[in-house]
Amino acid sequence: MKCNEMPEILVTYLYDESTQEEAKKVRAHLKTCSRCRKSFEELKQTSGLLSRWEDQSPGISLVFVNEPFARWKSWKEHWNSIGWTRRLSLALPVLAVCVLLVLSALNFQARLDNGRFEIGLSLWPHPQGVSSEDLQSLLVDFRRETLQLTSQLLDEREFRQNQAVTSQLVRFAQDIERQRVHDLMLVGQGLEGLQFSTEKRLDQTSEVLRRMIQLANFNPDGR
Amino acid sequence: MTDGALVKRYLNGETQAFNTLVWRYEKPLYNFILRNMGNEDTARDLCQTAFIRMFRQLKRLRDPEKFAPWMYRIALNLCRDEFKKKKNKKFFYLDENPGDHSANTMTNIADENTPSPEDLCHQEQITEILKRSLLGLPEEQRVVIIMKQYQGLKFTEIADILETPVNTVKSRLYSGLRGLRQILEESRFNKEVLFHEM
Repeated sequence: MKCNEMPEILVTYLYDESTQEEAKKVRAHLKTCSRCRKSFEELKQTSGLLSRWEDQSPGISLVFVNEPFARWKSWKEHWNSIGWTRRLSLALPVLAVCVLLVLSALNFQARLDNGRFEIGLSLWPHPQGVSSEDLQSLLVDFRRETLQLTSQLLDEREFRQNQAVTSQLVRFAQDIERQRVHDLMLVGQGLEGLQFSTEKRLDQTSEVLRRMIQLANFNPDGR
Repeated sequence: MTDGALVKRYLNGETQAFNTLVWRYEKPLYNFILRNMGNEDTARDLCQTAFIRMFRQLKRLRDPEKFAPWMYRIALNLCRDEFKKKKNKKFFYLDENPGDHSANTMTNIADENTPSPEDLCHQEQITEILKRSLLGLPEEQRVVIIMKQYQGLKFTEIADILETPVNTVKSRLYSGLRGLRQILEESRFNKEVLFHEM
């Protein structure tokens, strides 16, 4: 065993990793070589001094959980540690994004029309798209409704016309009646006047006749 | 239950199996990082980051039985990244020349603000001295010392983690222990008190 080979051999021996045979050789060499013995003693002393540094407790208690939970916890701790202004500046954009997402989700449309697939995404409601069948149906309904309304309009017009004619006729009848009454009154007045004048003439005629009779009676020969 | 079995159970959807691995390795890993970095807060942060990285990358582990080496490799990479970040901040100095532990190294470790050597003879203070002295070693030596001395890993396991030949690991350990002793001897610390403690 040579001294220049000793460093590796000595540390192996020092830490009890030598084989029995190797250890025996080292012990034998150390008995004869004072330089290596001194070197080994120093190594042993230094190693002994190092062992005075005892293990310390880390003072931490690590517990690992699933990463999503850890992320959530970390985020929550961060949120609690920041001030209100910072929270507000973080929350407002998030809220705005959420509102936009909700609006988009509410106004999302997917449609299959005659084998054509259509999707639409917007913040505000889409103008309602109408299929050709729906359009036909709507047109028929519209026509039916138009006819119905026209019919109702004509009926109403006829009714109003009838009402107007009836009221005109009533008014005309009233006028005629009034005129007839007036005419009858005039005829009555005329007849009364005629009767009065006739009676007056008859009286006059009677007077004349009476006088003629008187005259006739006064001269009986009459000749 | 072996690490491999727990890894398989985790990969089958049992998150609780990973928690068992965490409870098993929380303390060793924390102490590994602490001895590498020398700062408790940094060690705590890096330990958590290491476990989170493992939690996310465990599916990529080819051999579930090699969970521990894989875990130490992740932790080591995190420590290296952290060192790179702090290099420009003059947090502490690492020896640029392995084996050349000049008095400057100890000047940086035990500066004016450190407690006087006379005060540094109690258990907690010995820990502080060792912490600073280890940080004075080159990273490759420090890592090997920590893995062997404190994590109790075999030379083959360390070689596997560092992807280095076993003899290189042994050589680094020898150099590291010698270098550490040299740092302690050249320091203002009372070596008689220190080595008497053993």
